[in-house]
Amino acid sequence: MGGSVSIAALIVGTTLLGIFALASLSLNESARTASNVVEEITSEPEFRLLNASEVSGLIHLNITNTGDEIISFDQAWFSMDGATPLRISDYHNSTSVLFPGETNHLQINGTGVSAPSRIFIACMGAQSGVAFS
Amino acid sequence: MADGGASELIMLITGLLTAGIVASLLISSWGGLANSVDFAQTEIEADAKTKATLTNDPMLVNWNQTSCNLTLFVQNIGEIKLNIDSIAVIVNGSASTVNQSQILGNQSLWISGEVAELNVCPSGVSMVSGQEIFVTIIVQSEFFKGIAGQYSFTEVIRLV
Repeated sequence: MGGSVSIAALIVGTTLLGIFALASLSLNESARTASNVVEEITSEPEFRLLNASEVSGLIHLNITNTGDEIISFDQAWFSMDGATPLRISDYHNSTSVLFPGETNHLQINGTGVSAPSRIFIACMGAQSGVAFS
Repeated sequence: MADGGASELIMLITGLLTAGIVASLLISSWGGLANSVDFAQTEIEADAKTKATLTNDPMLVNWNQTSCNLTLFVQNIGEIKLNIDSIAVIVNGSASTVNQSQILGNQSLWISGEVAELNVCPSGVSMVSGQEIFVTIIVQSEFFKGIAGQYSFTEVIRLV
């Protein structure tokens, strides 16, 4: 009688231990996922378009990266007067990124837009616009 | 003595059977729980990696009442490819039809950083130039570990 109860208890106990181990692994994995999710939520670039001017079709822009993320011109799009957005790197290739704290002078040529009044840049959730001076 | 041995044997077999049943019940209930936790975790991960934003200048969004065409540009800012055929747009609370969609720059995949152009018709809604409206865009990602992530955002835009 005593022996059978012990064996039964041993089987149930071992199963519970196994389940506890699996639960620990699952909890650990969930914590890792949650950590990744928080990291993804908090990483958005920030920038500011300081000024813009246009001389004979050549557009001059000054832009500052005010955030902590590197801004890639491959992922930054500009539009003038509400027109279709254009990728910055297709029109400006002397630099490809804007580092945190850096202010860059961009020269954009060949857009075909004449005498624009406003320019707007959007990049991975950040956006800034300015009127031409 | 013989009776005692037989009853001990019956008790042992009963104990083993009961333990076996309890153990299998515990394992199967844990399996179900683990599957649902795993699914929820993947769903959260897929949703977190799915994100989009408006690339239009929000104060200058093109609207043509005659052809019923609101032109929106949406950038994939998530980590997973977005499905260009699974987009929903709500304009001022009215469900709208996406008549045409294409990825800019001759791209075939809507990967992170790429912008898609949407031609939206908010049927039955009358809007005029200069009006400020709410636009809600819902996007869906391609499958990530068997689950498609979803993301929605709302912006105020001014029509021209």
